[in-house]
Amino acid sequence: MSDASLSPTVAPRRFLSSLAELQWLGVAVILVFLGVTFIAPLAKVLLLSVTGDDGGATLENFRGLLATSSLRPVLLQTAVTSLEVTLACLVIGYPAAIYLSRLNGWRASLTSVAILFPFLTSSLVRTFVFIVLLGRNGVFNSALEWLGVPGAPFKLLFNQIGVVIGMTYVLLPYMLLSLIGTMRKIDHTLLDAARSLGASRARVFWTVYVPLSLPGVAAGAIITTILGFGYFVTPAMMGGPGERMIAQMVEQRILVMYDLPGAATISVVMLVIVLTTYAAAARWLGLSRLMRPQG
Amino acid sequence: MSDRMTPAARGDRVLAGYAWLVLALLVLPLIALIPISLGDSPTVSVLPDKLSLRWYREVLGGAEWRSAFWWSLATASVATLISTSIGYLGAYAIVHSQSRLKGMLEVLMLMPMMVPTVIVAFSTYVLATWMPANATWLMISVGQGLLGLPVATLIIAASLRGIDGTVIRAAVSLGGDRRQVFAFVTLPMAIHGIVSAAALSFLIAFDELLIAVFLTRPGIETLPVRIYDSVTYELTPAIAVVSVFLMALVCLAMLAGEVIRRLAANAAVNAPQ
Repeated sequence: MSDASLSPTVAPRRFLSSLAELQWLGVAVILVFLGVTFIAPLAKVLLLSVTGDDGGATLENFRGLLATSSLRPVLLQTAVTSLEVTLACLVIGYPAAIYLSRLNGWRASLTSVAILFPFLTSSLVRTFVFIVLLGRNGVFNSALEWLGVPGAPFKLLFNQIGVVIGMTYVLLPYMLLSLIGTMRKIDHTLLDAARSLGASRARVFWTVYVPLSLPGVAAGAIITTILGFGYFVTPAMMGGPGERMIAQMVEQRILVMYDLPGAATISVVMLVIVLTTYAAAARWLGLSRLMRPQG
Repeated sequence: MSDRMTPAARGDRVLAGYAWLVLALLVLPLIALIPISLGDSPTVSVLPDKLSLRWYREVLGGAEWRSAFWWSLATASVATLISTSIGYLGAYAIVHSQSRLKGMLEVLMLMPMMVPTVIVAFSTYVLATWMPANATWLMISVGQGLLGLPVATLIIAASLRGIDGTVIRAAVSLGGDRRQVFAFVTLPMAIHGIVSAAALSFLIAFDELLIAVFLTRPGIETLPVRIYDSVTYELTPAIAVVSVFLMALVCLAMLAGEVIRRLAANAAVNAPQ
């Protein structure tokens, strides 16, 4: 569009300037809408976190939270869970993505359907089915007992293992989409070149393929970690009683304890952690790459 | 395994088998919902002793599930309208603007995706306290619309970037005014992106739990809230029945997306040169 001025006709230029006006109108609509529905309430949340009982500005909420409450163990638990889930997704997804990224034709279509179908299905549904499958009398434990695995049936529900399994199932499609998107773009002539120069298959894999796939690994890992960090549905449904993850802490304070300043304070801690991670990742990988798990 | 197979070829075969196994593990649990939904007893089991449509009757005949479905449909439809229209405006500005501020606009539009959902839900809760009580369902839509906005913006921006600027200029120099160019050139060329964006934001809104949980009132209960409560208090095959309906909805959305994509591709091929 920038070369419109080179056009011999005047009409496009006038047209474009009228479009520019319209564009500003559009931006104004966006700013008003997001300002009222998102920025202002978010600012109110930030404000709540630094408001004391007497209504004055204070950092007492943060001090209280860090000193006495259960924030620290929950924060640690949340971080550990999201990292465990990310690692599980990566270990399960990476080898599969190597093969799936090479497919063409109907196999590639089948692959994208098999990933997108769970990806688009409600996370409540996906968590519910895992509650059924992982139960004491569920398919998983029955299979283990039938195989004669010692110790079966295991307790896989309402504990940490269950949450990690459930969240891995829910978040694996993000990792797969990110990995496959990057691996598809790897130029296979580079691998052939390395082979013809005498490198072994293992050496080609570790020194050529893995480095070229790292952007996808990084994007997938960051998305999975951040989504896992703020996840609510699966831990709330599979985690059993108590506050296991930080999002549940916020929910409990709003709905059960009716402690809005407390919820706001935890939200701010969460926001700082997540946005710092995003900022660091965006500096490293670029924001647009992070936001497009489809690659 | 044949003796002629090299270790490398065998390795490839193992890798292929593993990859298909991972895909099967992604899809099979969802397929398992079908037999679960056909159970006859109140306990959930993948292999029910007796198949029946009892829980289908219970869900379809139950006023509570039906009302939850209609609430979800209503809030998600309005949410889709919000994310698609605001997303279009934002995508248009991001794609066509040369302003240095457009990076900031992009970050602003993507914000609801970067901020954890529970915090978006919290701020929507705060927003709802500022609004009259009878606007609660609309605030659920607004919050769900915010969650779909980043995805909608990204998809529509990608489809707008694909439009060749010379086509627009040609339409204008042939005498098209702003409305005609939008209706007959830009819209048909971007329609695939707009429809995909609408479908995705609809699914995001329809499945959204936390905003609806925070804003739920007696008489306003969406499907995810109802599912969430049911899982917590009474685990019955009714949830599997609802799940099967939700999966059918996803299949429908994927099919519609594919049909539109094909139609758009055909239109592009058959367009008069």
